[in-house]
Amino acid sequence: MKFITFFLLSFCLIGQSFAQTIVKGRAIDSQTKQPLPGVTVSIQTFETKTDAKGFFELSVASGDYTISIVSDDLATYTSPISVPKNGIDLGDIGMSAKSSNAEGTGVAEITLSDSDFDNDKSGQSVSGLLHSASDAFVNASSFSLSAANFRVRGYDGADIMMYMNGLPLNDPENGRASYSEWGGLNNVTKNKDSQHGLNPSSYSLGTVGGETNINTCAAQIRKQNNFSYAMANKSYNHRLMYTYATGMKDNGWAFVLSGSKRWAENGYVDGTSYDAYSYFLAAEKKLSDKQSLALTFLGSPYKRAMQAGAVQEAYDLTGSHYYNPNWGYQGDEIRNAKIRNVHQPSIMLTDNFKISNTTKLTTSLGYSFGRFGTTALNWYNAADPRPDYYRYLPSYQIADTNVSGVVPSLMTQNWANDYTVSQINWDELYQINYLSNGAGQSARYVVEEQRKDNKQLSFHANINHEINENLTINGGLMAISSNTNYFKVMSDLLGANYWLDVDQFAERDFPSDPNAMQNDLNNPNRQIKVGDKFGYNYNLLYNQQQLWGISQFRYNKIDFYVGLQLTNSSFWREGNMKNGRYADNSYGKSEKLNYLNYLTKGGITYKLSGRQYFVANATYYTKSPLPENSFLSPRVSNNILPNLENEVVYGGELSYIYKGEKINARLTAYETSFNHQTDIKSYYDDILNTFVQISLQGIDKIHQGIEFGADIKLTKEITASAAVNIGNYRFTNRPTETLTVENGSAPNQVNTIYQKYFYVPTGPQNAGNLGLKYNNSKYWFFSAGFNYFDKMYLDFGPARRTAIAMQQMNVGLGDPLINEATKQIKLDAGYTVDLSIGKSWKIKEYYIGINFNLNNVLNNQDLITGGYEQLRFEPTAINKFPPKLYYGYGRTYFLMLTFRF
Amino acid sequence: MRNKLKTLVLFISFGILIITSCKKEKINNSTTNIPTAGFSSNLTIAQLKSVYFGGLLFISDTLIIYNDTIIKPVIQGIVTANDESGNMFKTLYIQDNTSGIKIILNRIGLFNTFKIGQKVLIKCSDLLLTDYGGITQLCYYNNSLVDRIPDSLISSHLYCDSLPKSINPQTKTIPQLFINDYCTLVKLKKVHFLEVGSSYSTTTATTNRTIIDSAGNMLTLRTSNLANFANNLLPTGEGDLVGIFSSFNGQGQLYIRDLNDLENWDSSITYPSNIINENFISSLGSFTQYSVLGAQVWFASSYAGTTYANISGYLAGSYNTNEDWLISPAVNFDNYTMEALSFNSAMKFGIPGDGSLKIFTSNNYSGTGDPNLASWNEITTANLSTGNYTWTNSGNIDLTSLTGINYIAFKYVCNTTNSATWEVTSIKLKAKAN
Repeated sequence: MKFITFFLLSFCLIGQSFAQTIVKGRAIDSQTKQPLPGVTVSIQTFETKTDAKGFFELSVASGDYTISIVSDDLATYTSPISVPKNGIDLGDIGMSAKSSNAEGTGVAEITLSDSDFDNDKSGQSVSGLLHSASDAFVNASSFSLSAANFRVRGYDGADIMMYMNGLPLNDPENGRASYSEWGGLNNVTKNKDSQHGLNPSSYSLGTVGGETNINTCAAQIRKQNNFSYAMANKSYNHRLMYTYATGMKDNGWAFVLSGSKRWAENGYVDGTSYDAYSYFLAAEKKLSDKQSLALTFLGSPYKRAMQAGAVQEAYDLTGSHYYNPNWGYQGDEIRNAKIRNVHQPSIMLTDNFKISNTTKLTTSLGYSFGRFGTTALNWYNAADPRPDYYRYLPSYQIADTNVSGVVPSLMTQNWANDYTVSQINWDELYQINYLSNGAGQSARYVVEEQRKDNKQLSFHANINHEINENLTINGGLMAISSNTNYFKVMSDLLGANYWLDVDQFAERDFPSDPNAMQNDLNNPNRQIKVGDKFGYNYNLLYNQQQLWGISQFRYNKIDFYVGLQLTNSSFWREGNMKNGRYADNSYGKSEKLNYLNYLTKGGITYKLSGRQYFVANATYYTKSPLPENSFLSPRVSNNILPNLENEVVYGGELSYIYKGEKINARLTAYETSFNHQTDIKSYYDDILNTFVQISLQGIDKIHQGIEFGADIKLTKEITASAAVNIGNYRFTNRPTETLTVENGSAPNQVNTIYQKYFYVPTGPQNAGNLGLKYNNSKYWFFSAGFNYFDKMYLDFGPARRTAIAMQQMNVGLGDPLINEATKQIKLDAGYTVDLSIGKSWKIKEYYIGINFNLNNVLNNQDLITGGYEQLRFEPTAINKFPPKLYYGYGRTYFLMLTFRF
Repeated sequence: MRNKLKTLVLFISFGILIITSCKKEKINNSTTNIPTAGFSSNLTIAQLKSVYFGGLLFISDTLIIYNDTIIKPVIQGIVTANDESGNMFKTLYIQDNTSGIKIILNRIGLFNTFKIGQKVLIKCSDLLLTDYGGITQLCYYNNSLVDRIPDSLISSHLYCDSLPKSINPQTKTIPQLFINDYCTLVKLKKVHFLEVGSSYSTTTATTNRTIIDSAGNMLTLRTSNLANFANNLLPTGEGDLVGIFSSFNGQGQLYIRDLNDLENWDSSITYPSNIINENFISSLGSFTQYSVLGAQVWFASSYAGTTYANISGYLAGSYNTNEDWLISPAVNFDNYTMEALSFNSAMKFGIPGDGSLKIFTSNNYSGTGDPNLASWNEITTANLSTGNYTWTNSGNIDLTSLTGINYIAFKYVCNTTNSATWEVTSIKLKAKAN
């Protein structure tokens, strides 16, 4: 009822006169005097981007406002303006370079890729919006807070939509966009159009976590000749970057060329080498005053040695919180078993067509293809080669009372002093293979590469049409066709002659069935050589069509919008091998899954004055299950998870925004309910000797909290900022778990997981940042930041939160062991301090900049930033499989020199 | 123009920087490591075993053998058996020219490091000699307990030297095997198995089978149920058998390492084997029962690990008149020669020789229905249990005179004044196929 009254009231307000007037100007770099294309200019709720020559125009009602201009690598410009009835030309607005802690310095880029552990689920997804904004909270969460894996509102990467030239970057199978696809192309991916939270944009209706579109059209990239070198002690040690952009030339052409190399022999964590490149070629041709065509080709090939989480005991034994079990010495050389090797080039063609002064059509067609591989050790009929396998730890020996006390103390010594014990002993693996060769046997140890090679064709036609000064409609038609090939390929036989393509666990579990152990009945007992595909091989095919539209109404005191999106998706698995355990149900196509989903969104802005307004947004939508979470054991069979259902999401946010002369602040309360989610995890069970898959279905959770951000101009040169998130992200029900043994040797088990009111393990739920920035007219910059993180929880395993676990533990009501086994583990709160300093000079037409950042100045090496409970649970010894943890980096530096002309 | 030149120069130098900063791509394979222990042995395995006279013998830094004092005793030998097939568990056998020894270690997958034919030197200080069923074994001393050599200590006691070489087992005959041969690899020529068609091991426990040479000498073949060949069937025919000769409390045993230890096997040669081998595990198996009189019947039962067919006319304080038959499957004696029957029996509550259990054969029984409709010939030469549930072997009963299709039956009778309890098992009809 109240809602209706509110709407009626808002329509009354529509009646008010709305005399619009024009504010125009041009954004330029104050130092180089170059125009700045593609930067965001906003006045109150009105927003636009500068054109190729840096010009902008905005229609607003006359009154007092604050104008802000935001660019990724320049300090945000804000200034109070008074707009008279007949409009105003602000002329050239100079923007100066900013101090660091920004993407321009590579901090965010590094921080993001550091979360790239070999935990498949967390992956290298975008944790925040990763852009600069006039919003203090968004700035802090994109950069400073990301060090502790802070996620905006606790949302998963799948709830943050990423686009490039309007084409979706979120992976259809897991829903997440991967930053690494455009890593190292900082200079040419700066033109971003981002929205925070539920706000829709002109290119997408978004979901609940905001959306970002990166515009790579050549004319929108600032004219430059930019060379930079950076030195750091993070995941990489060196970065070279070069960008050449012509800007829109008089002949109607614009060209951009960019490339970079980032590398480290050994990153911050032992055994993590880094070898990344990137390339970018773009051309744009102005066909007429109304139309231009832009072509972009980009790629970021990289090879990275990965870090893995370890149990606290291993960190204690080696005396380092950066112990990494993934590497070992081979001869004198460090070799990492887990190398991620990715090269996923994209080519995009974008047509920008201004049909009329009020209608704009943007059409993009894109194709991406390539490889995504991660190597791993595999072994057959031999001891586990991983140094931190639980039986190799002293605690396992101590737990066994039959073992002589000499043994654990000797093992402790060996762990501290002997790399062949604490790390992978490559020479020993080779030796065992050579001995097997001598006995005419197959390889005992190999390095395989698990591949996920995707080909994707995508299309988006996006129309923006202004019906009148009060009503604008945005809409689009989007289509994706994706085909991902999952397989294993032999990467290194480690000196052996061949590897036998059978499942050793099935060989043991089904001794009377010679077919069961075959991975491919069409090619049984294959001898695998380097480069051969083996183990599993299947494709996941995915098609999606999406139609969306928003009507945006704009009036003097009130803006509001409604949006609707319809999505049709279908996907299926196609097996390329006939697996012996699933002979009838692994080769060929699976059942085709079809889903029709809708998304609705609406919002209203009430403008109290030119500088203060209130925003309310709400959404309700359904989402099809992710292909990644829809198959029971996709490596070996076409089996589909029973009772798959759409996820239902609804939520809203309320904000108060103040854009004053000295203070720029926002306060938001938000709440989102996610219902009927599905999650699949798998692990290797060394009692069952096979992979076990855990499917959790019907997960409900709620994310609620308050965000606050403020920038306060203390003097002309000093700005203070604050950003705070107080979150409460909880599971709200008890989902159902189905436990499946991949080789089929044991029947499925169904359990209820007692996780109601558990905290969602998604980085710090409470986080804050206090910052101080100094910028003077001599181009000196200085900034300091204090970050605080709290309410971080370990990702928890379902096994211990079941009735069957309690039975097996043989505990009665009130037994303290129940709490010990089932309670959620909260990590210690922590803080870090960041400092940065910079200076830039202009000598003739040359521009030289220097930036130096110190992160975690106090060298806090005890901040656990994440981790997970092992999925295995031993009811008779509840701490037998302790959690694996990750520690945040200690003090790190980043020094960058920029040379531009 | 100047700008373009600068761009070009910058671009080229950037390219050079990138190329020169490339790091080495591929790690070369490690080379084969030919291990060398770097020290030599100072006593033989036979000498080491000679100091052991039972109990626990801790080997310290010195070992006194007769009048010699060995400082830091080291033995050397060639690995003759390991845990690869699973028939041995966490165990290695090594031997030198003098003797062989069993070593128990706390590691699975020993075979990947200690291949058969691998020369190994063993530092014996701090290890322990113990006895297991008459076999001297090298192990670890842990708080006055016998333990396997801990995984983390293996590398400081066992040292590989050179690469594995092929080894030749010593050829022996069954009567030639003595204590000196314990824990050594031997080859028995021209032997065959008694339990042809049975698996090497049952699924539940380590199992003994019988090796027979051409002279009729027998030796136990012992196989773990965890061996990867445990479910395979003992083949017909004759050939050479390689394995580790061992013993349990004086009873000689042979452990094969895997099925490659059956050499030169000629399956066309046939020896008598058990055509019937019934132990009544959880059912009457291939036998059937027929009750002529009385409510009580033959049924499968077990006691103290022995399974058998059981009958008694006694129920709840009273004796009941019964006539019950336990009848074998049909056997066509024309297909075999050298037929011989044996079984074990146990009896209580009867009088020896009371005729409450009799054994018959019939060549005109129909296979089903009342056995009294057929004619039966009694076997009178079987040794039967004389009471107190004492298991008694019948001895080999010659059935070579039978021709055509025959049945073997156990007939039980009792009355209201006396009801014996009979148990029979291990009913074997051994014969050689034509």
